[in-house]
Amino acid sequence: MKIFQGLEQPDAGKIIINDQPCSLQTPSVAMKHGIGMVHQEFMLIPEFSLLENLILGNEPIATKALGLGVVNFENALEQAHKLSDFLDIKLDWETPTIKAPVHIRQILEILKLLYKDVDVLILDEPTAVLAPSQVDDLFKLLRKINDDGKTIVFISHKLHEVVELAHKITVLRKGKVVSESLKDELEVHELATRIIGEEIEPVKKTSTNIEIKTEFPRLKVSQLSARSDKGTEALEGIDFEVSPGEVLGVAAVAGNGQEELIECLAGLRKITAGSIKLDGKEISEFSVSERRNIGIGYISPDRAHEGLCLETSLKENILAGQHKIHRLAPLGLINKKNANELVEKKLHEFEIVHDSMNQNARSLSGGNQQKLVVSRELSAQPKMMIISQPTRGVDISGRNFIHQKILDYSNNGGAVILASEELDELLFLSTKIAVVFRGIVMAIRDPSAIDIGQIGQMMLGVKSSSIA
Amino acid sequence: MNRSKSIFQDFLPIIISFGVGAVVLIFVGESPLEIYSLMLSEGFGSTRRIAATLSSATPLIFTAVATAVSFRSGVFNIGIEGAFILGGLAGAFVGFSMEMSHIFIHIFFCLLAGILVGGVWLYLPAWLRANWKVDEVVTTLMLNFIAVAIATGLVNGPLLAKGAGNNMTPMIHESAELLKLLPPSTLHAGFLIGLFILILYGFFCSNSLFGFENKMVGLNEFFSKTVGINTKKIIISSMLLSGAIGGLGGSCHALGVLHRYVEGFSPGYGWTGMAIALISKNSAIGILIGSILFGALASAGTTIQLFSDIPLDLIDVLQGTVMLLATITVFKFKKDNADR
Repeated sequence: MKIFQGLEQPDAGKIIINDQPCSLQTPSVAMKHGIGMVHQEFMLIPEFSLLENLILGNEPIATKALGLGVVNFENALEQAHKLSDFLDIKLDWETPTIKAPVHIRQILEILKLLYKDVDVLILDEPTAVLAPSQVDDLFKLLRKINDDGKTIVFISHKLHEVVELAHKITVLRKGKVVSESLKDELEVHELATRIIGEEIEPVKKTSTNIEIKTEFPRLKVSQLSARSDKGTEALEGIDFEVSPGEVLGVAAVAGNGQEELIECLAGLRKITAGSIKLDGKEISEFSVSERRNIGIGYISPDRAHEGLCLETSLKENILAGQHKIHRLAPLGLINKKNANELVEKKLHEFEIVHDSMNQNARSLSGGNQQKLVVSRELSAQPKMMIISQPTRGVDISGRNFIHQKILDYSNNGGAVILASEELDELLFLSTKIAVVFRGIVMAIRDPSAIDIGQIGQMMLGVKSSSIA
Repeated sequence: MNRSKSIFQDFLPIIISFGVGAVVLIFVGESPLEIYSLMLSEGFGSTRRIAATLSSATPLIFTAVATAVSFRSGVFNIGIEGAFILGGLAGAFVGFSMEMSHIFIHIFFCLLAGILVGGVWLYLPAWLRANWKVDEVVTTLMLNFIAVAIATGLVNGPLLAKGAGNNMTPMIHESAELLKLLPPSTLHAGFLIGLFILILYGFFCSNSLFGFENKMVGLNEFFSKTVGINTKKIIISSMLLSGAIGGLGGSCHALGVLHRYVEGFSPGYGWTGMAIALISKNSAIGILIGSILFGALASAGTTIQLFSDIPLDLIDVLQGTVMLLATITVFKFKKDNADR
């Protein structure tokens, strides 16, 4: 989309507008060709009034003197009213934008493009911030614009919205067009399968399935709620249990709360309600360090920032998190000999290709970096592991190594919570799968009793009861 | 080989600044070689000159170590100047206001006062940084001005010595004076305290748990959090330690050299210390070399005007250039941190 808007240039291929090939070098060139875009993030100046934001960049000019123009606000207001009357919406154009409600700002973004007289409107996730009734209003508006002869490109991961609004649906996956079809030809179920990808046969694994009888589940999460960084509700009333030897996979489309869930469990995010119990003991108020001490290991999805400290040596990366062990640092002083021995042993055990323990972590390949993180966390022999995106950017052999490590861990009685965007990975490793949509657990299922298409539909918000 | 190369790079700002100084000297019609060799002999030519150099280096060792402790933890604390001034005032106050028979006890309480005041002084910005992510550069910079204003206000009013023309406190009692090591030079026992602190700092960096956590937080705060380091605690305690060392430096300066607090107590020791910490990349040995080098510049600078036509300002040119080049490191440091 950035290419259409002139922000980025294509490596190959060309764009044809009205049968004319053209190159869109900058946003203003794109605008001249009649292409405008509404970004997911608002591009408005909060202190300006709605009117000022509308005309910004294309101000009607009253008089010109000394190369400076005077803005003709009367004319601008007139045009603004013409626009809003035409679309049958009521706006107080003098309101400061900062005081306007979110859906008005979204509409203003669209009006801005109409004011500039574009023919093609690109809307990137325009409903992300809107309530359902506002979505309906927006759709009415879009249909009206569409009836006026404008083309609309509507980008969304919300299937029902796409189906409701679009005439033609294009599915993109990993930078490629997977399918192109008219709406009427498609079923929602089919669409979901196309988005998620081919159905993949789950690889059979050998599991020893140790039966471990315990009084409490290893981890019990009940009625957990939390907010996102933006302060919106990210998780609401999450319930699940994980027992020793179980792997609970968390499936969700990015942004539906699974990142927040993982952070809550690891102790990096405060919960607003509910409880987290490890072996029956409430731990929701525990710090990261306290959680580590009682046996919770964590593999961060963000290897470069949280999983490793790339700026320093392998040695310090391995020591970090274990540096408080008494044997290594009695009386607050690090015993270098013991530390070096430990690091040498671990590097060997982790099968990490390296020259010296003093080399920078950055010099390792992505796969080796992740192997280091996974091995470091598992070698502390935690009671349970919180794992997020364990194989992101990891080569095949590293991937197998990591999968094997996780399986070995759970087969030996470790409990695992696994969040991953790779559905086949989830299906392969998990003993049960929780599907999360908009911060709510849609269903918890046995992976052998469900196929990838069904998971995909639930991830996109289709109720599990309506799936046969 | 790599190591010698990196040491060369670390001292590049100093080498460049001497080059800039040489250009200035040529413009005013002096031979740089002559002046620099004169400076060398004035800095290190005799026992007395060496003593003067080490004496000038003493406050810098404290301020450089103090700065380095917080820089290592990724906190760009530039409030050492203020901690140094208030620590000096606190030390002088205990020195003149209380009478204690035993010299070590008196000195101990004077230094303790400096340590406490210096530490407490940086608690507020430390807390704000750790809990609300308030930019420590702004808060600590502003606190420096407040520190100067507080000290000036006090020595102009309640703490003003009777009959004194300048704004200064009364002289401290003899029992609070730090021992002179090589009279008549001003080299005093504070230098030994400084060396001791420097050695402790070296140990802190290489062996201590606190030093390890302090370094990891400085390198990567997110990572540190994930591996269970209490980053807030580390940031606050590093800054308190930093302020305490700065305050200790100030009280040593008051007890060892001036024997009182005078307005204009610090001609920018905090800033020079910061430059040293930056150039040395927080290494203990680098701080020692840097402090002695800047100490030599200061002590040679004062006497060099006696023997040549070169004004003291040349030293300012040299120091200014080093500061300027060190600032480049500063911005890189800030940027690297911001990138995370």
